[in-house]
Amino acid sequence: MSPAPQVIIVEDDAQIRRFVRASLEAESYRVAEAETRRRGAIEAGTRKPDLVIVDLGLPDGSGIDVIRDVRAWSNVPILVLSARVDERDKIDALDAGADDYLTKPFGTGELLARVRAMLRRSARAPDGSIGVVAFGGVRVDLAARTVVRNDSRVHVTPVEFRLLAHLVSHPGQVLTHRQLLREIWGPSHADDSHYLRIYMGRLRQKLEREPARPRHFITETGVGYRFVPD
Amino acid sequence: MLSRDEKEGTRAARGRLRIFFGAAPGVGKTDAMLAEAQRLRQSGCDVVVGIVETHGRSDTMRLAEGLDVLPRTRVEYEGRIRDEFDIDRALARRPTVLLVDEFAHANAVGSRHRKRWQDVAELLDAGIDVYTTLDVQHLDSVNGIVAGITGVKLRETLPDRLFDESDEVVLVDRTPDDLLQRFKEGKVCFPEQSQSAVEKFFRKGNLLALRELALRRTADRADTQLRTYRIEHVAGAPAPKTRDARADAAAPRTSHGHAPRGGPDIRGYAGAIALCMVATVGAFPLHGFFALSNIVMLFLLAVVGVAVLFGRGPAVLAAFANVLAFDFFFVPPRFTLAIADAQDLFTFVVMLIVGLVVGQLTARLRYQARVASLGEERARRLFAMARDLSAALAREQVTEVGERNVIAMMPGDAHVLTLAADETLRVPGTDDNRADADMAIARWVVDHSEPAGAGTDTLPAAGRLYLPLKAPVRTRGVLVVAPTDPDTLMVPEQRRLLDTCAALIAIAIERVHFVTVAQDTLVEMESERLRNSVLSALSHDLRTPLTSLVGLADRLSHELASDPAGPQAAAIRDQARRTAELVDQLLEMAQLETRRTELRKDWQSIEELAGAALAELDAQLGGRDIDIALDPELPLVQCDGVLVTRVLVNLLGNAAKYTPPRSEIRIAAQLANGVVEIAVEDRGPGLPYGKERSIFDKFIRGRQESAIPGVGLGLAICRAIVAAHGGSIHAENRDGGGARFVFTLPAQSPPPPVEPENATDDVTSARDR
Repeated sequence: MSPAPQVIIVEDDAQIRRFVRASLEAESYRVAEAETRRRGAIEAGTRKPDLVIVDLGLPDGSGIDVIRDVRAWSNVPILVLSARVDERDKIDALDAGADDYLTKPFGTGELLARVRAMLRRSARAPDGSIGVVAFGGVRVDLAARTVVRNDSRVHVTPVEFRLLAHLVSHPGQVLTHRQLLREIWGPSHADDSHYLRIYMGRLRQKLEREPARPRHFITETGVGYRFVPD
Repeated sequence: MLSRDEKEGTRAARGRLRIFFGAAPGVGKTDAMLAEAQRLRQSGCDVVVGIVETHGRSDTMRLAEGLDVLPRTRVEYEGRIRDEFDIDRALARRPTVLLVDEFAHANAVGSRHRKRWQDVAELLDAGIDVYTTLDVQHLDSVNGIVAGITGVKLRETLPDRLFDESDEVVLVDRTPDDLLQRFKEGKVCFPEQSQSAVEKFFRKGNLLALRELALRRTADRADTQLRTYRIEHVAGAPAPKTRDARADAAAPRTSHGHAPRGGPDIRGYAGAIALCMVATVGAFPLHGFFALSNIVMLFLLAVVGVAVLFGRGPAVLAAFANVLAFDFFFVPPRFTLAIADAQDLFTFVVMLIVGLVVGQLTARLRYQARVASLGEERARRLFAMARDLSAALAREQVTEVGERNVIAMMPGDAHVLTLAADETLRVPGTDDNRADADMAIARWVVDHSEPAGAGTDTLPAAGRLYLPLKAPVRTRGVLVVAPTDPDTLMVPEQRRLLDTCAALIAIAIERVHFVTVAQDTLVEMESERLRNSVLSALSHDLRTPLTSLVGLADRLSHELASDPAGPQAAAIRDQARRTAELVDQLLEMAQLETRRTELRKDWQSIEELAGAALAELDAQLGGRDIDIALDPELPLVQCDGVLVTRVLVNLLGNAAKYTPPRSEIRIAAQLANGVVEIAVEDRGPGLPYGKERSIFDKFIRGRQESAIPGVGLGLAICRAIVAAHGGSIHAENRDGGGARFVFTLPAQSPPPPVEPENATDDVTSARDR
């Protein structure tokens, strides 16, 4: 049996650290705390964490710097804590390499769900080896480049498929508009967000049961999109 | 050609019509006319008063003294007797000039003509010159405008043609302040109007407008004969002073009249003769000792002296006088003009030529030296002015420095008027539009960016010169110059000097203007920055404890799941969450109000935003049926996705909060008249009657004593967001019960097209390539 996952919390408020730690330890995670950016970088470097939780407002620098520090040498999943109205910060954090965010205030349930999903994802084999992704009656065969919904073939254009493939290979993860646009259309289209609106609309029409209330291709307003398998 | 000759011919036979034209009753038209008549009488002209309304004013009566006045005729109509102008008597009397007051007057019924101007036309045809008076408001074309401005409608009007065809228009001008003063002193008579109407009429704004109309109307007449009688205003002047001013004004000021500059020139010629005499007397003792050819030198010296002292003309005179004096006194035979030796003739000619040439050269040198020193003086002054202006930091300083320097260069009076933020002309530092500077002309100058007044083609009789302050970006005001000696304005160098001054002042004003703009922007940015930092500090300090409160209470409720205290912990958590939500709303509202609508606009799909809002409210909506009726043809909309989602969340959240569980909620969106219209409808109790509008105000809730939590910010936030997008929001009750909230967003032109895919529709074929 593998040892319990190691989580590092970089957060300046003691009370928040306290309840996050309590919640995680109740699920038998190992938890280390850091109060500052500097301390966070040291902890992350020495403890080989399985997950890093970062608050964006730190006394000695932005949480985004912590994300950059960690991303410089590790692919460890990073969860960001931020307030609802600070969309810009969330996008910056995600673009800097964070994997997901949690909006303050949050309850234990939301925290643990998010942590579990992230650990599960990173435990899975690296990208590429997933040949087939299935969700809500849809099967996407990445190798054969086919999409089947309710046993009938769905026609998608090459660009639609590229977008779909990119989303389903990052399940649960928030992908910012900029990241998606760069990936699918190239850096010169990084600001053509209407491309995404149109193509996401088409994918939902083709693959969602209720396109206006999507279950799988979720909008993170002002930030990006998230694919949720189930 | 012939027709013109004919016309001139008829003109010659016809009498000439001169109109004393004013902006309003009381400017002194009749007085100006009478003063002119007195002047004519004194020069022996046959002037007769046909009719003049003195309105019992003693000043006017005094001015009419000594003039031959025609008796009036009595016209009886419906039992009322009116004194009227007697045209028959006037025709019989045949004066050279006849005064007929109030050109636009309507004659009493029973008179020969209905209108007085018809009488005048007949007099003119009879070859009598007529002087008359007219207010601008009586002109047909202006009457309607005046009625609009002043609220006083006049019955007596005059066709514009008569004004335009008159031979001469004399503009009688008086500043509104002065006129108001006269009105208050009861010196203005306004016939056939009620007292209240007259009170309404005599307001400064009205008078300014009328004055501008009068000036424009006069300027429009392509009339070289235009003359202006200006009545100088002295603030709060006592009555006698006004009379002095009038007497002054009565003597017409000719703008082109150069007074013969006799003084200095005659002195020069006298000086030339005197010097010649000195030379002659001085040469006498030398006679006998010196050769004649050397005595000539003394005379030449005298010519040079005259040229240096008095200039060219006296030098020429001196040259000739010296030749004559030399011949008369020294050349034998002496004391005659005859000459014995023909050689002497040669001496005379050489002497004359040398005298003339030397005199010319010396005089030119003297002139150039003077010009050079004047030029230097001008350059020095301009430099001083530029230096002073560059040190000025405020508009008032620029004005003060400008005025002082212009006065130093041209003794008299100078004002700088600048355009205030509301485009009105002001003397900086006051809200007074200085009475003695003529605002109407100044306004014209600013509007046209062209000079006006003395020495220009526009209103040359105005006595002052109005120069536009043309800065690189725009005209920023007017420089009004009233030199003590108006003739200086005719001198080209002086005009150029003033133009340069105006340019310097204009540039300085513009510089100061932009400095002010930059400072304001800086202050604004600074306060904006401060506001933002306060907001973000506040939000951080409030949210952090709330986050731990929610988390800790949540944790506690889990740990106490089987304990009676468990639900209490859960309640604490829920209250803390609600408080956090409230803090978010307050901050959101504050940001919307202060951040001057800094929207992160982007192409958004309404369907997607609705989906996001529904996802956010998933827990609150429970298992409700949501009817989503979005037009499939709905275009993408340019908006701030986060904020518009917030609107939808607030509206849908309200619908969920205030309606019974399981009742239906509907979202609809359609494109109509260039706007995207989005509606959220429910089947709840609807809105309280009369509150459809006020519910969008801050801290207002539909039902005050509601058990449903909230403070009433949600809809205020919605309204602020929609307004920031240039849309509108309203609420109404639905037929069949329930409320409907509708907001609109402007639909822009569609986004740039998406690059077409260069593969065919099928993904498989793409792989095959």
